[in-house]
Amino acid sequence: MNRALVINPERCTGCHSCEMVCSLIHDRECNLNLSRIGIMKTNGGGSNENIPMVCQQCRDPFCADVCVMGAISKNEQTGALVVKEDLCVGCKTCVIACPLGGVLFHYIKECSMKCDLCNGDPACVKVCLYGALEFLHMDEWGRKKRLKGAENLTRLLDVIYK
Amino acid sequence: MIGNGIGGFSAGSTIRRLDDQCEVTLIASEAHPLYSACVLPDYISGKISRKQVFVKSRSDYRNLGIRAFWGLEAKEIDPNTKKIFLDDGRDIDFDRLILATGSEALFFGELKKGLFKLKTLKDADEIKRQRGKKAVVIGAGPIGVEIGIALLKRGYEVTIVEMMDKVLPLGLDTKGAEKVKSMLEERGIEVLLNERSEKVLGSDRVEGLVTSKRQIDCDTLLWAVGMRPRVELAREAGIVLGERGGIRVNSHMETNIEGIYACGDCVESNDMLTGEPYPNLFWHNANRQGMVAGRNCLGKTTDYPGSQNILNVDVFGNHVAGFGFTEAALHRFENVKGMAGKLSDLSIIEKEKNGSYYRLVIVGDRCMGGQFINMSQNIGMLWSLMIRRRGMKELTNLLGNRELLCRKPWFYPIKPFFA
Repeated sequence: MNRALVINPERCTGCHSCEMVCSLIHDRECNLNLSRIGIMKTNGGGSNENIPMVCQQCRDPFCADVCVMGAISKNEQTGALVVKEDLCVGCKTCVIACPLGGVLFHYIKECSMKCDLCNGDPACVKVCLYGALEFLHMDEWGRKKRLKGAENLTRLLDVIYK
Repeated sequence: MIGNGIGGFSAGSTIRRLDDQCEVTLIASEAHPLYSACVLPDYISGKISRKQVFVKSRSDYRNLGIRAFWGLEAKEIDPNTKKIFLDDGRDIDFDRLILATGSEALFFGELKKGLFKLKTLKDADEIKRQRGKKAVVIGAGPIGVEIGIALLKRGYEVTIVEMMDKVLPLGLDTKGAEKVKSMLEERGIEVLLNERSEKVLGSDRVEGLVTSKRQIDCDTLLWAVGMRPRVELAREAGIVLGERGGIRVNSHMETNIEGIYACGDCVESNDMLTGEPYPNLFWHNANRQGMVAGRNCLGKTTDYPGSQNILNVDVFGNHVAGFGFTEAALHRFENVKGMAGKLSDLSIIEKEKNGSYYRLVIVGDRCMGGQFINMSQNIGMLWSLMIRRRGMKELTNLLGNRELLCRKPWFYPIKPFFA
């Protein structure tokens, strides 16, 4: 796994484009209930209170452990945990187990659904106009995080020494 | 490995993933590749086909390079000479042994025509072949409820008889259990509580059941009163058992004899919440135990963090879930070291809204259990906080503080639970 879906919640405006395109790509209809990614809107406005929530593709996934059919497995190429829909019996144990709400229940197919990184080319990233979602190489992501940390530090120093 | 459940298989595949040289042999008493016992009620009701019950096929074993003896039972283990004797007279040498003998369904009296238990695929096949009109299920645990529903879907008239005072007695407290009971009764399943089953009528086939209060005529009878670890093989080999009847293991899943490991339903491992040994017979525990046993077998020291219990039953489209202990069950752990506090500190958060219901059991500062009906989406966070033993005061502080919460946005979904 060398690329990851990175979320920058401070840039999200809550426009729901990612949810629409997610359900459109996977189920051929724009339906918020069938979207693998979900924007959580907390009470009140403000740009930093829309948070896109999506599966984090854990390295030690609990959803895969609890699955009694072994239906959730890692795609070695993309690094995504994928639900095999023909194996899933719809018992919802993985839905309970995921702490981040990354696994959802598909109410039409009656099986679990989760982000599969669109086979290594996530559609939600492409439609996000504000840069809230990025699909980055791990090293690139690390560098960005470091820069952001340094930025925060300089801002803090400014406050202290002013 | 002895045993071909998920424990044995996950141990075998873990060993193979880490080491492709060593020889891995598996003794399977059933002649089937790995299948899921948890979905057998769905198979009985006809929701899924027989093929869908299987998780692995025989070719998966060949691809992994696991030599499997199908349909053979291990009769005896000699830990001194490191030999296993099979029931067809052959013997196998081993350096390391993993016992994953699993569990068997409890029943009392003798098995006769029309009387079933449910643990293996063979049991499920027999139940599917049975043609009857009136079925009685003894025990209203998760298995009993699931079989009851499955039989109703097959056209039986179903009665569930339970000794304790509520359905799902280990998973739900009174209010939740009453809701589940009314859901069952609404669809026509008769639920009889506080009744002890005393005698099965009929000489060679089942004709009825005598309980402590009445006599019920039936042609099909199902025992669903629980599971017992299968430990005869281990006991005869001199392996120490715990007080609850499972094989006692240390945190590396090793038994008292060096080189013999055990995992799956046949062991009793420490519960994550109390730290006390408790037989948590669940798929995910067996899966993790198998991985830990496999790694330790190869000398890669790994600790098993502990078992968790989970309740997950679908009652006619209503999703009943739970984890941890109920208020009633906690009284048994009054003086346990790992307990969060005195039971006098017990507080309950309970709410009912639009057909959904939840109840959190909080002792002192820690959540010790939760029960949920028709809420599945956001409870994973609570479960993960519970097994990590996070303080509830810290959590409610966090949930009340907007600025802190902005930095940890993943806590937002559980805010409604504490509102």
